Amino acid sequence: MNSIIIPTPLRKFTSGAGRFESPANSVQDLLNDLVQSHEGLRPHLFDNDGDLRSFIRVYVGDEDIHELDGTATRLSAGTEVSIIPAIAGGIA
Amino acid sequence: MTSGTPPSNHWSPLGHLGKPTGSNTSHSGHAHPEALVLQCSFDALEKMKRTSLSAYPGEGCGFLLGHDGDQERQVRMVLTVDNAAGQDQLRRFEMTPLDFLKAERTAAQHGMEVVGIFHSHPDHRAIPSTHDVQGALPHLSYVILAVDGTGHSPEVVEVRSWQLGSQRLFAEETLQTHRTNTPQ
Repeated sequence: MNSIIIPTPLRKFTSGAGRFESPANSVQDLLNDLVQSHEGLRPHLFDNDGDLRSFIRVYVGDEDIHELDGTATRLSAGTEVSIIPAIAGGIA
Repeated sequence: MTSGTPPSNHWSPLGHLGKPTGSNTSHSGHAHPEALVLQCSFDALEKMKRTSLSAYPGEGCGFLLGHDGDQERQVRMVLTVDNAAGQDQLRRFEMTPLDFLKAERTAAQHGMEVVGIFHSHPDHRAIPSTHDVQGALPHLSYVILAVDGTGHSPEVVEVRSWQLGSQRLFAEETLQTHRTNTPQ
């Protein structure tokens, strides 16, 4: 079983739960399981093309998945994955 | 005002914007029925203004820490953050995942939570831009400060608060300031 940590602002969509567990063995499958269980999260994690939003960073342990295999990163049992937002914006 | 395709935030004459007066002032707009009232101390607002002015002509930013209530949200602490947008900080702001983690830890240490963020719009109105919508998290309060640099010295001329709803649309919430001192 693997787990994923939900940041506080997104816990409104998980009934307050800060952790989600799934037997998924890749980051993509784990995220899919998460949004299928908590559909309200989907538009905040994925854009209209189904890609992970650019400001949503996903870490496997302490490593950003961009430095691994992206969402295809494989997970061994007992891995903790974290969703951590970078917040961005501006006038143009 | 609901802002999926945000209204133009191009600069307008100061007289059109009006100036927040700081104490016991409500910057209410077209509040969304589900929007909270954001209670912000005078000191917290002043810290946001100072950060915005010192960052000009770039964008200043930071986190708002405090408490969520049933009908209102209180800002008790303002945590300023270095704008990580690099050369784009004249028109963008970015707070990194590490900044977010630090803000959550600081909030927890003080028995609070991250309730919002603030950032400035140099020479633009305090209205969420398309980029603000794209990079926003839902249910946080987004305080935007408009800084006018066309005079002798930069000046904060408009402060408004917004909240991204579940459908990724920004709605304005009521921002109230009061004189109670809070830890900074």
